[in-house]
Amino acid sequence: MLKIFERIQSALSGLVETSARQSARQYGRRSALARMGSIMVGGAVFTALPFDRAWGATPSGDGTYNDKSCDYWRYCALDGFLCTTAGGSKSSCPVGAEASLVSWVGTCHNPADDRDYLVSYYDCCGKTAFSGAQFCLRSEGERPAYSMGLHNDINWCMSNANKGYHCTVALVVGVAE
Amino acid sequence: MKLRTLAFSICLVTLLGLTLPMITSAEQQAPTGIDGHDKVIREMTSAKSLYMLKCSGCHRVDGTGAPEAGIPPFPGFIAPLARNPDGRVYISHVPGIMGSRLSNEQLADVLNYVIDEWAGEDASGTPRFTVEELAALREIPVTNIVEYRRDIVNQLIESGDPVADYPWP
Repeated sequence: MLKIFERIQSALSGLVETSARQSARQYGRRSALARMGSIMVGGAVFTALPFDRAWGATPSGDGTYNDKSCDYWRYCALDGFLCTTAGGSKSSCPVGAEASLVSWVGTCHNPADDRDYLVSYYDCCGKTAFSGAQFCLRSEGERPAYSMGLHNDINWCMSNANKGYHCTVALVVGVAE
Repeated sequence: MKLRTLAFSICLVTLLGLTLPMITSAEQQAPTGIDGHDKVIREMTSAKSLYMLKCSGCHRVDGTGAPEAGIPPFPGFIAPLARNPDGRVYISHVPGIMGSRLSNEQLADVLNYVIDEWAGEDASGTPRFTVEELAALREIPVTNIVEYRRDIVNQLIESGDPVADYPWP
């Protein structure tokens, strides 16, 4: 019985030895290092890529007056979770979250009265994101790189003591006139 | 025979390449030329609306800013800054002005709105901006605005004027 095990063992070690020697003859040490290096660099590059918020629902056009839908007219440049689906409303933060001190302001067209309104997008901060909330990505008027102030990928909670992002509200602050 | 197949596929690809963009571009006609772009903003004339659109995001609706985040408040501080000749150059080069992409007419209106609203009792003694002055001030190259600001802050301290709290004095 023991002999069988010994045989299997020696056969296995022989197999490993020959394959190791063969690969050592075939590939240099440098090639192994280069491969490991490329895998490590690849990993680092992937984690360094910009944070992508682009997995939001795209508007379909039937929720223009439903503030729980990404199509709602006020959300024309909103990139984030809707506070209306996270315990808040379209203009106020949910309990336990505070509005960002700074925000970004854009114009949205309201088809009901055919006017353009100034909409301020405040992030609600200091509370962890709620996974069940509706995520939206609409970027009308966004000018990334050229005008950083018109960049909706920015976490506006950066101005607050509690920088954790929870959701975004769309407050009408005036008429574009 | 093979050559014919190749010629056919080249024709097909070329045809698709020509017609596909036509089909897709027919769905949404993109505006052409400067007149077609950002019409809503370019036609805005209300100084208050322009302030809301281009300034209130950081300086806030009431002009109090967020000093801890590097956005100084207007009340109490805008008048002495606007009365100092270097301060006027500085004002013409803050991010909200330089990055706004508004016309000099719109910008002069916004700056005068800020003075009207937040210069308080000093409003009457604070010169307003004309379009010509602002255009000339914006032409002055200010390459190191942080150092320039420090210089102006020192001038204001020397003349006994109040200086806003700022995380990078």
